Amino acid sequence: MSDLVETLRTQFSSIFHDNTTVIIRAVAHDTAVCYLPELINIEQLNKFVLTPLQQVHWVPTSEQLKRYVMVGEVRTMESIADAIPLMMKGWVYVATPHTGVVVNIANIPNRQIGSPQNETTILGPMLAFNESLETNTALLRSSIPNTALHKEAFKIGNKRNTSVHLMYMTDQVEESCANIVRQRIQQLYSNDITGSSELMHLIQDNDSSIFPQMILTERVDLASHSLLEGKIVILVDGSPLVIIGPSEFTDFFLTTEDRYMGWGIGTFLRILRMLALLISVYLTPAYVAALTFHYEIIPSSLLVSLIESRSRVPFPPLFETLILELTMELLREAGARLPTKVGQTMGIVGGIVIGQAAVQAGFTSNILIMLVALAALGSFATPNYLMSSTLRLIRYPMVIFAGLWGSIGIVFFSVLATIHLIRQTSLGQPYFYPIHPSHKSSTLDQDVLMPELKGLTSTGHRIRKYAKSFRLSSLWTGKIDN
Amino acid sequence: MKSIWKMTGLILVSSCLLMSCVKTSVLEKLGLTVAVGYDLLQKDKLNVTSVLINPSVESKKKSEIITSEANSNKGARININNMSSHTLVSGQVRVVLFDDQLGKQGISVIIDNLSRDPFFGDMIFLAISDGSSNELLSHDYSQIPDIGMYLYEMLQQHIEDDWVPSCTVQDYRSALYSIGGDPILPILHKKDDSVEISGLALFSDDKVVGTIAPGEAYLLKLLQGKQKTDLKEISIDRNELHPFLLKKREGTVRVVISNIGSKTRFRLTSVQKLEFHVNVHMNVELQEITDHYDFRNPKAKTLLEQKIGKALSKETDRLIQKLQRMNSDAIGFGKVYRSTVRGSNLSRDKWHGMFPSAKIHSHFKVNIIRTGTTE
Repeated sequence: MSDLVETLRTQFSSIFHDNTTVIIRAVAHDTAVCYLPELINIEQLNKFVLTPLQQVHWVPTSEQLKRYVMVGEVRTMESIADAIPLMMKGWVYVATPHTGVVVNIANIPNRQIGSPQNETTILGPMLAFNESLETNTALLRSSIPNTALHKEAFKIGNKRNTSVHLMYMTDQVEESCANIVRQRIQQLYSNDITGSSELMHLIQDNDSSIFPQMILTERVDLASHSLLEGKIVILVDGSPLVIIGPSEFTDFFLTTEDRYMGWGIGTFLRILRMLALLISVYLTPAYVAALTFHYEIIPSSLLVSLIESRSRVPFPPLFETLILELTMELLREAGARLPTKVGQTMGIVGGIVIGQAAVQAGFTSNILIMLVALAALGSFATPNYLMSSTLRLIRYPMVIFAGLWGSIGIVFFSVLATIHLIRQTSLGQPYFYPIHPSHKSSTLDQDVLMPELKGLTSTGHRIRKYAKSFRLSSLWTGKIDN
Repeated sequence: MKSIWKMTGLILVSSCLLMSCVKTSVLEKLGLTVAVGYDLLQKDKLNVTSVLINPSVESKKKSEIITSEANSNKGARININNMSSHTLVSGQVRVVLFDDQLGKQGISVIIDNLSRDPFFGDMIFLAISDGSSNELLSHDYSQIPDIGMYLYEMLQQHIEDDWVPSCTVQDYRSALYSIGGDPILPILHKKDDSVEISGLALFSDDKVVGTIAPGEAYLLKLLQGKQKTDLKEISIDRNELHPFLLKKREGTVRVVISNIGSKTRFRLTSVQKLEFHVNVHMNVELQEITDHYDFRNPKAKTLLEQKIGKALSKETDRLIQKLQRMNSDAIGFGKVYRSTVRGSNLSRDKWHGMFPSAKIHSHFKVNIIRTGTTE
């Protein structure tokens, strides 16, 4: 009996390089349990593993062990080396001289399901994913209790061996998208990833683009809604964010809340966000271009106050704008890094003190302060954080081009950005979809949220696009073409 | 990855190559001209007055006046540039004034010059100044800090809601170059310490030939079909309204109406005799009547409508005769003639020969919609 413990101990200490990580305890007849004490539930160990094993008075086979141990998940292991990865996740290894089984009584420290912290809404469910893959999968399963919801499991990485789940609705997903994801995840065999955002960057279509090509969300309702639209959801163990793909450019400006609001308010909010996009990208470059090149377009009523506030500023408009934009970004970054309590003070210091003092010191014109603040507001109105960061980033080249060539520069860079966007794909699907390739009815349906007509819901076009086509004619012919 | 380097290279190269393609004009380094005035001196010399925006915050006066004598328009600009601390630009010019002497000599050479410069917009207002434009612009008005913007806003407001017809470069040029029509411009008059729009200058081709008063200008804009709700005072003999006036005595009754909507139709009734009929249908609101008038009787309204119509057509006939005397077709009868008579081969000179002898009758049909409410 002590022979078994001794052999196990030498084996484990050669793997872990010490004797303290794994606890090895002899039970009854030539049986021992080995586990990492931090990762298991001690109560369950006593009740469902140790107590039943006490009654075994012979050397049990693996089949017998499985019958005695009163736990759902039990697996036979050929060797200790096979058992190690599972033990690292809180499984208990029950060993006899000839065989061994692993039993899942893991108790991994975990956060409670909470409300969304970053993607808040006023209406709608207050449910967010947490770091546990099992919980996240359970949240999605319970939100779509349908057999069509399909799950595939993958493991990524040599050392961390992260579990990744791929979920989609079998009856609505575009099979080629699922294939692309599957293929790309399998190619990542040796990459160790720490979170879903890292995985997203590894599997996206174009690595060098600064535009996010898939949506990261912590909201359960957005993920389940996307599943129903025929999209693929990728969950990564240890990350509270799930990846939704394929995503289009316009998807980054929509929230599930738009639908909860009804079509009138929802449409208004979406148009407002599109407006915010234009403001955040074009407002400060337009200021630079107007002041450096096109003084004719300045409205006459604004002219005098603009000249007066500009006449004290020692920098050309381009540098003035760049400095102020960088200050704004500095404020945002400092606010994000600081603890919440200090962060609020930061806003006051930045907004009022620096803003007011900069104008009084003749550092910038007060009109520009207002424009930069408005542009920042515009970018923050974008619901997706990655997209809003990208919008702020592309403002810099836009401002520089506006300072070099005026409105020609703005047009030049806009054309460049548009060409780039049109060329992008997200999991093989066109990224700029409802605009190019153009699809009129889906633009109305998806981006403007028309009221429901004749039983075609506002999600209807997705189903038509990604999966089987549903035609109105089938209502009276009684034939549904697949 | 390769294409990205190519792209970056392309952008860098084009940035360097195209850098100097666009000329920078940084706002605070510019002397922004808001208004320009042209005066005629002896020997065809021009006296040009530029009103610039004064960029210094401390100064109370918002505009800066620079005057220069020159032989040509651009020559004046060179001179004025020499006198200014900023680069002189004309992209913000809103008002251009010509003095009446220059108006009589003809202004289309200068306007042609202006409209060839892309920095001058087509929506610049043109006006004739009664007296020297230099005096009008350079006077230190106690109530007006920025004379350029003041004139612009004044003209704009009167064009939108009042009797002044639109006087942009575009309007002037289209009236000047179209066959059968002559331009009109408002007259600005300096009155002690303020400026007023005293009437309209009538043109025959590009030369000022006469003026009309605001009352007549009202009718002119009405005939052009652009008159908005504006008040018009009409005098009617008491005897004509006799049956419904409560007090019987001699004299005139003043009636003030405001136009709610009007429709004007020109008809060429006889090509040989060159006879035009102008039919105006007006919906008006009665604003004021300087006597007790019995509106309870339904016939009273009809009578008043007839009398107002008669008074208006009388005034209109007088206006048209005045225009014919001056040979200035500001209303555009020539266009009616040209669109009615097929193959007329009308030219501007030909029409100027025909217009004074045309017989033009006007007829007003007035419909009083409201009598009770006033503004």
